[in-house]
Amino acid sequence: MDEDRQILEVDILFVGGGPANLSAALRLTQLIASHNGQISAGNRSSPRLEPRIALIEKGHDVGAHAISGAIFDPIALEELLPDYRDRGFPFSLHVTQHSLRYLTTERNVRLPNVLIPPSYRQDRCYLGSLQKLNLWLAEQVEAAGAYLFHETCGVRILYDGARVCGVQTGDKGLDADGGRKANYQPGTNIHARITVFGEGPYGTLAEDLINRFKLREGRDPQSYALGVKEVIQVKSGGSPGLAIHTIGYPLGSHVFGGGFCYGFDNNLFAVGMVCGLDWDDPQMDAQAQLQRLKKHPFIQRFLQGGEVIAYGAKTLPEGGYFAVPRPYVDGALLVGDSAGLLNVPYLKGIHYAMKSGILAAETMFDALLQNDTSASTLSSYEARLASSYIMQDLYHVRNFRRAFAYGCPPGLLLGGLTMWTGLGPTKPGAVREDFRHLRPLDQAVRGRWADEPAQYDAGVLVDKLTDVYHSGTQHREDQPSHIQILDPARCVTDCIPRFGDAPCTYFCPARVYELVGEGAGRRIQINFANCVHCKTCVIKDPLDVISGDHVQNIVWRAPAEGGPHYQGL
Amino acid sequence: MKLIVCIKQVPATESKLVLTRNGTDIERAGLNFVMNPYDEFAVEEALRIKERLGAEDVTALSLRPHAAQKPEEALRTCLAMGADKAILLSDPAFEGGDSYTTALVLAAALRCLPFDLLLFGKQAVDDDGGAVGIQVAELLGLPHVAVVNKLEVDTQSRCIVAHRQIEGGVEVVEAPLPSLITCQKGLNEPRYPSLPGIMKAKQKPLEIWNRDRIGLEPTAIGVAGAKVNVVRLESPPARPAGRIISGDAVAAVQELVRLLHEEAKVI
Repeated sequence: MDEDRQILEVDILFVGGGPANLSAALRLTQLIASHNGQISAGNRSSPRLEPRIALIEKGHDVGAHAISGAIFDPIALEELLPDYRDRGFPFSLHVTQHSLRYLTTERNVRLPNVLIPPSYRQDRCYLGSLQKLNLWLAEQVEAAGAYLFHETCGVRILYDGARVCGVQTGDKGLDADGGRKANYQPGTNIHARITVFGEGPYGTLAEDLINRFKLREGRDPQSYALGVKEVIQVKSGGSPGLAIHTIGYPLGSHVFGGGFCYGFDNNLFAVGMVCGLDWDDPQMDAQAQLQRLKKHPFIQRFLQGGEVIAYGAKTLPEGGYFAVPRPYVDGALLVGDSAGLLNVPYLKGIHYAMKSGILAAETMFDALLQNDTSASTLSSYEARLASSYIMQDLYHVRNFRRAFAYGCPPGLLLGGLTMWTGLGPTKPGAVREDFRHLRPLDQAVRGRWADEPAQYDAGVLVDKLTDVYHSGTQHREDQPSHIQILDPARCVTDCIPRFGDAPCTYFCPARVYELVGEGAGRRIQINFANCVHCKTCVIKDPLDVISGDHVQNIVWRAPAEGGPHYQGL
Repeated sequence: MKLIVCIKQVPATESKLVLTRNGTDIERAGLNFVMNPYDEFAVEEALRIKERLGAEDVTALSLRPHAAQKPEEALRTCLAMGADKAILLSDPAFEGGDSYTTALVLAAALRCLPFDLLLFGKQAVDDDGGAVGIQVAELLGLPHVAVVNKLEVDTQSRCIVAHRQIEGGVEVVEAPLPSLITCQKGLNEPRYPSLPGIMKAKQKPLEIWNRDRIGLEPTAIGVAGAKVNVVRLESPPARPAGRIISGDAVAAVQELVRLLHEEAKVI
């Protein structure tokens, strides 16, 4: 099967077209151009560098799978492109009214701004869509001479001994059973001297790499959150510059997280919820919680008469300082969310992604100059991260997220305290993987409204399948499923009896998992075509807990074709 | 043998369309555009003919219908699939026309190019007009076969044999070259561009032709020359929420029949 694969030789390969890799590619081309310029001017005698740089992205374009709030801190962009405002930068709207609210079922309390440390305030930030940021960055990267391959998914890491030497891209044109259709196109083996994994949180290949090289050894397992977001068009009464963050309702006291509502130009709002995946409730459903949030009087008044026009969902790495894996091996680097770089109390990761890309580029530039891409040269990336504001900030707030292990009210107090003081434990420990937190239905701590069904009105309040439609997700119905349940019988014999319900049918924000049939015929049906590639299922799949071993029942591998088609998320 | 494929860039099928303020067009800014799926069959067929018969070259041709669209992207896809050359017809005077003015501009460009066979998709999936290919054939005085799902090319006797699916059977049509076909699903399975193909596409020529290049009066084309005036576009009515009839199966079926008869009035 492998003999008909084409081989593509490049020097640097970026896997994933997000802000981390796009920034890295751009910075690398800048460093090389400046180096070659110095040589041409006779100021430097070393050889010219002309590396071939390629980036692969599984989405239709670099924006199609990109989703974030997004409140964008331009600190890393100012470093990358000081003249970004003159280059058609797509954001112009700043946060003008920011508030943090505590919601009860009917009321809201504004938490005074003085509670938030100055560096955590949002007022110097832009409001925008990550999709637009990525598309704009990609224009700069392509203009600088790098190759961008869309709809190209890395499915397997290629090794030369213990050294990463590239990735294999997915075979296209397969039928449901994996047979070759008339237009079968075997994946390409892309060989590279350095491969950079910026696949977002829980990247298929990034996790393969982390597991193979035990890059989290001595560190905490990664904790995640699930973010769900909608874009809502109202007829009039937009609030450009509005940024509300909420805690409290509709999340129970044992779910870490909150809501957001941002106002954009053209009467658009972005509304979403971010929920820590260490929730205990097997019936917790983030998409349904988002519908409840929109019905809260404080949020509802902004969205009156509106209509959902876009939806998406994605996990975020929340483990912070102690969960950042070793970010390098022979021939490869990890950047952005794949390296767990996100600041939870600041609610931001895009600027860290971009900064980590810049640092990765500097590291790779040195490696190319020295003609040495081994781990010993690439290890300087970890040192660069450590001395940058990324790891320094993350160290300061290292205990913020962990404080919420005590529930929400004490977490707020303790977490707030650690934001100001940076105090608390200085070593990793005692953090359990998210899937271990799930408890049987009758033991879970649930909000008292949890049993009331969420309400829909086909306008601003929509059910999950309508939201899936608004994600634009598409997979060929006759392509092989990228999701497998290894032992389907255990869903019915182990999982449901233990938890009192089928958790996957709730935690999946795209209704991929559906409990069908009755009596002895009950089974979980996989609607893989609905999938929005958020990764919640592989993170939250609880069967590990029952068996005690570390074999997950759900296997999710990035598909060679398809996925969401996000617009303006 | 020279082949030219005319392609159109259309909004991706999952796009959420928003009407312009005056209600006669769609908002194009921010939409995802892709190559019209029927045009993919045309590109694939041209490439297969080239591979099979060693044709000289395949040229992809497109027209920018609106300033906010980038048909360059769809043309690059054609080049990545294996086309040799691409030409984009781009001029403010071309924009805002109808199928007739589009055909006029395409025909004017095609008069400047040598070809033996022209391939079109049978229709574009955005406005479903299905008229441009046929109008081009008429303007150029070429024989055309529409909605082709199988094609044979005979270079010896310089003719094509095209199969068309018709009600209850197949119609087989022979036409001399040069001629024009419009392509239907089933003709082939369009290939995926390979990574080396995408890299090579960057080096292939993509020419931009304006009005001066093909010599047309501005009053004859674009908005000024259009024969069709779009009065109003409307979104389909929102689908009302579904209803679930609960209860035991026998009673539920009876209730369903009653509702279908009395409320939906479909039986």
